[in-house]
Amino acid sequence: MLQYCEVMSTDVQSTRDTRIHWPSLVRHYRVSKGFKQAALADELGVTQTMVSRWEAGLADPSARIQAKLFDRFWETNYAVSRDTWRIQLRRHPAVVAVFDPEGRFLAVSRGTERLIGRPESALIGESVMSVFSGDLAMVFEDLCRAGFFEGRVVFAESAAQLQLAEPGEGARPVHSHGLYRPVFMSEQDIYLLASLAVISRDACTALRARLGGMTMIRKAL
Amino acid sequence: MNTRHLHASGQPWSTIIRRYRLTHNLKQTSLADDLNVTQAMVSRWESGAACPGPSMQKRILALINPQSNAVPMTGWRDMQARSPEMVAIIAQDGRVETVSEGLLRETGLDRLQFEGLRVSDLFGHEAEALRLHLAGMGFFEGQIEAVETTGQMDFRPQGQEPVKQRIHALHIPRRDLDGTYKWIANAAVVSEGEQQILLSELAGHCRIIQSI
Repeated sequence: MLQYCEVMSTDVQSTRDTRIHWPSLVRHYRVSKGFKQAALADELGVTQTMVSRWEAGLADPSARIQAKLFDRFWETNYAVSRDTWRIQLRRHPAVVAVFDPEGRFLAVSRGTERLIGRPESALIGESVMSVFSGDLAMVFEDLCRAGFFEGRVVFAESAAQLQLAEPGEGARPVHSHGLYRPVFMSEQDIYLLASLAVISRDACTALRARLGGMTMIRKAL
Repeated sequence: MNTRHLHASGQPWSTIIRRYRLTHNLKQTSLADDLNVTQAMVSRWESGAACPGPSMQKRILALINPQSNAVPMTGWRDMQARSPEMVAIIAQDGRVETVSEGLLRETGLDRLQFEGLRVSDLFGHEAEALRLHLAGMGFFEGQIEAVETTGQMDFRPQGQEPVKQRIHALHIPRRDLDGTYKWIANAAVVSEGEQQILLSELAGHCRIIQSI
């Protein structure tokens, strides 16, 4: 049995302005459930007019509804508690990591430790820019510009070159496929859940053609 | 059967549509909504009484292949399908329901080929033994939060002999819309040295991870 270990650093404060864009978030949640406005209103215990006003940006949901939406998003996507999910993420065999709006590692998987060649303790709090050089830092900037941490992005994918900022002996840049999703780990902040796989050059070329470039961003609105 | 009723893979459209719907837990009416047709039309396609026209065939393939950017993909299963990692969603009986893009890349299969496969077809008998082991633990009754394993698995690249690989894997049960538990298998290929470390961390080939 594994002991639960706190992997989120509580002293890391966000300084970027990441006010949540509620019209995007409400609509993303509603569409992901296949709900009409009336059905979402029913689920949250408000009127359909209210949902319509949120989505039009005429009003923001109350603090209680905001927390409820974050929880519903969580339940819909993960089906286990946030604490349980964090434990599972640490043991995940693939390259999976959670980033804050500053691009700092908040949680890493076993596969991430393997890829980067550094233990979790040496990665938490480090920034994506200091660990990777080149394309991946640019992908992160693209996501920020698209309003990822404001909840404007449903998901994004990348076909990017992966290069460690401090590569080990004989390490060469490789190609990667990335998938990025918002994750609602706390009750008010959106973090970035990234999963990555190393792929061949040919696979990367094909992926780039499908994505229409290095990064494809699907927005909620 | 008229070849017009067959997809390029040689499978009838009726089978392709029905399998997509069942593996995604959709009612005929929901699929009809997604495709902007009536439920009666979906029923006629599935029974083989009618065949979707060329433009509808494109839309159906776009639903089945999440590689297509044209379709809104938002559910957890769709995200697993898009995933760059190796992921398979497997039913209790060993039927593989959904595989990730990463797994398709590793096996050289396309999405229409893997559906209907069994876990033993994809990964060999070790995977089948693991399924029985998990089932014995109550995995498919939701009694386990996660299981971490390391071992060897056969990978079967299309048209080639199986290749044995050292694997690190995490197995998570997930309750589906129909109330049954599905097995989400996440895997990565690891080096011999890494496997030795995992074996000592897990105190063997298999460890149950419970948060409480």
